[in-house]
Amino acid sequence: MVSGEAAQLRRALLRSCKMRGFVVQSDAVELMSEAWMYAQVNRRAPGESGSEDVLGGKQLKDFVAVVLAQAAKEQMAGGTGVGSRGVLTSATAKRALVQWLGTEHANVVSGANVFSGKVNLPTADASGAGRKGADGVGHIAPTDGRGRGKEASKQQEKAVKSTAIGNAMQQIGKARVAKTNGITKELVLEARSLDKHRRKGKHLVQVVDSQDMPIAVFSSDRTGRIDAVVSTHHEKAALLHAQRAQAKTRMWLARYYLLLGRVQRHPVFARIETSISRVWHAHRTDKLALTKIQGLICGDNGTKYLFGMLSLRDEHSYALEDDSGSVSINLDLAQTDGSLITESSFVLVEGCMKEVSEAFHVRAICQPPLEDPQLTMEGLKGLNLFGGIGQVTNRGAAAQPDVSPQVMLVLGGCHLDTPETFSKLKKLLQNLTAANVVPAVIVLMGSFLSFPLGRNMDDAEMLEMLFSKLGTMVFARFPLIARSTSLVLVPGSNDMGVSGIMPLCPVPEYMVAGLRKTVPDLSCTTNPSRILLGERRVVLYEDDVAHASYLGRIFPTDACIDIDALTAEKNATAAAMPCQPNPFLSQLTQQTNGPSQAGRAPGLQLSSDEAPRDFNAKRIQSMLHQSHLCPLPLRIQPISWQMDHAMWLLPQPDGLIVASCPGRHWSKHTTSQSRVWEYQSSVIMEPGSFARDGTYLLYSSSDNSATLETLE
Amino acid sequence: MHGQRAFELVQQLRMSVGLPGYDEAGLKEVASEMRDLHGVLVESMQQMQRRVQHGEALDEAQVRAIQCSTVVHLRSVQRNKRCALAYLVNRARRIQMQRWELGATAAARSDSCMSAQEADFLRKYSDILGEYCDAVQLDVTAEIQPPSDLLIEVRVQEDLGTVQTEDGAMHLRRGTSLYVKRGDVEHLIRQGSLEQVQN
Repeated sequence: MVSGEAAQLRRALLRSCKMRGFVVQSDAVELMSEAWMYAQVNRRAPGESGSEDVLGGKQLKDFVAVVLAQAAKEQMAGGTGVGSRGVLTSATAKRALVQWLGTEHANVVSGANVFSGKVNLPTADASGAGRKGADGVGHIAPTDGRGRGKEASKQQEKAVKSTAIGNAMQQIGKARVAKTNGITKELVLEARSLDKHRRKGKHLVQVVDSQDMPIAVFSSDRTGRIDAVVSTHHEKAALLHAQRAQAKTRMWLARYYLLLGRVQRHPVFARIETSISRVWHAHRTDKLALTKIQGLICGDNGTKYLFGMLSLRDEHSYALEDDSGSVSINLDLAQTDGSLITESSFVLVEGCMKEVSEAFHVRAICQPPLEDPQLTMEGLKGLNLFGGIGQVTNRGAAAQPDVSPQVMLVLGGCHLDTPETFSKLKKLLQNLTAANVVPAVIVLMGSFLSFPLGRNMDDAEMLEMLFSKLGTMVFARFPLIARSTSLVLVPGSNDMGVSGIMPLCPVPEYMVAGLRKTVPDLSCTTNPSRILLGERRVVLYEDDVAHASYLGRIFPTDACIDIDALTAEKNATAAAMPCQPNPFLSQLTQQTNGPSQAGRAPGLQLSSDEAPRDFNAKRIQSMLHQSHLCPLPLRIQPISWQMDHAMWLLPQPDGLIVASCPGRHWSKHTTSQSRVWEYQSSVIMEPGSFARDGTYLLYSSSDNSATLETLE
Repeated sequence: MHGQRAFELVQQLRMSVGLPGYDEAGLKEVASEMRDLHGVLVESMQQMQRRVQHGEALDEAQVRAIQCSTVVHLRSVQRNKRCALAYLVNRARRIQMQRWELGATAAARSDSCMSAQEADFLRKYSDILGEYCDAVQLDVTAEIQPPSDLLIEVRVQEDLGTVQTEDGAMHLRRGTSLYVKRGDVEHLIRQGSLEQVQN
């Protein structure tokens, strides 16, 4: 009889789905009927809604309509190539149901939150089966004690009176027992976590590691349009394993399209060039049109503007590549904007083709201009590429006064094997406690060993011991901070993992088991990773390729002229030639570098004797221009192809923390400097080495500012 | 030439089968051309007005030239607008057709070819159609011709997992063939996931 009821419900559901044009997988039907029953049990307080038939009737139809509408929406947002084409899959149905369970209860059940509430099964007169059912659900949604118990018992009394409802409930309870496959349990848990995040709202500190970062899926028609942003683990797994060899091509294409979109939104470039505008409107001709490389073949040797990736063709000749083709370029007479341009970075060039099938002669070359993050968000049409739940895409309301200021403490280069680190950390926490400051987040950036892990046999054990020592000897003495602060561990290049391939995997959980006992809110994250502090987006990154990118630069940057005698000489001859500044460059740099040179970035206005340390600043600037943490060829810094999206910096983050590890390639050009400076709307923090100098950063999310502090 | 892009837009739709990608750039170009043309139009009108106000005498040829230019520009704007609207409305029709032919799930799948507004349109249209079907308890999108057989043999072209029908579950694994009720798999056949085996 019970199975008859369930079957009837399933048939009714199925019929409704079919009428609405959905072909449904079995699991999906199962899920929907489970969720429907669950909702029936929870929503209807006994005696209130009369002896209405649970099956059929208007309510079920509405339920199906709502869930299917949601499913269609999910299907559209779900990305391409994931799941079956013409069939409503269980995964989609599940997401739709989670949405439905969440919103439905917020509206229908006023006051009583189902996810934390008691299941109102009439256990008083129900048989054992019914009781079991109630227990099953009760286990999922535990009672929250006081107050509720009274209410529940009242409802039980009512339930005894209305036996008709009692019977119905009993049957549902039995049906639940018949298949306790845990689907509903999973659903409810998911909905609950969603709800929790929503309630926490903007006071949220979210650490987004590279596994959680959303992936942009570009449309296959080479328009560079983003079809969808995939952010659920399930779909991402499908996506990551689906592509093998193409992953590398896709990585470059994705970078190209992301930047192309940004360039095309720039006012200097006309995305739209109509025949009429060129002829009749003189004022419109100041807009430049980008040409695709394939379009160079036509033989028109006027000035052209290209956007593409610089690649090394042979020993000393470069080529420019875009999604349509590649062309070798001649950089002999090229003027630059003085920024750091490396191989594999994407650049804008101005020049002309003198002969067909000859090299493209570049007159000017520069980085793609920066963009206001607000505009980027608009350009991305509200898609969240940063990750995290409940991110506010419109930051017009960023300066809300009720957002409590969140303080983040960043410690770079925390070598735990250096004894000073412990004493310094202790002193730092002591100072904080004395000043009555409890930071929301403390970030410890690696490497946690001063030498590469694996040099000795017992390195891993030693590191494990050091972590637990960090807990017992440091954090245990400051219980207030240990309990209420989130501790974030960002690994460095010396730490565990596949050496040197970005993104680096987190510190393994077993190593920090001891530390977790004292600091419960501990997250081991990847390098790079992202943190959402309220509405501020901060990116954490640690690398040791500063020297490599110094060597890999194609043009001498301004700062390096005096270091490199050879290039200085070359530059002198170039300077001797009468050449006026290229209008193309000035047009772009006006809009990008203008404000920063006007004094917003004092860190960049360095005299020549400070030139070496300026190099790192150039490097970080070019990261922002490239919207990528490592715009270097893969042979210098390998990046996991499928995980390249973890390195993107789009939209431009509010804070960028780059710790340059004094690692293998240590040289005078790349002295790890601790300083804070601003570039456009981003505040850039270089924390230096805490173990060596005792410097650390204090970042405040309320006004997006940071200060550099030093322990005496 | 005026209206070239708009014409291309319509032609492109006409020459394609199914639902081609939404040409946002093309539409923007057309709109911008319309703005340009309109700017010229307004300018020439104002110029004329000014000249008349200043009591300048215009000879016949000048007046004709201005009249001609005004008409040409106005017509160009109108033509562009018509083309753009034709593009949009014909796309909407094709989307409707897809919903009828392929069912709600598969139609939603092709949303990578749609603009956000079109996707929204499809969703709402699908809702209305579904509501109607549910109300009359008849799948109006089903084949109009009565089938010769109730049961047909189909070969599965694509893994679709286990699909629920009123008679029970149906395992759609690629390469297998099944003997099933026609009504259950109609949409799947039309979207090409299943292939009917002709006897």
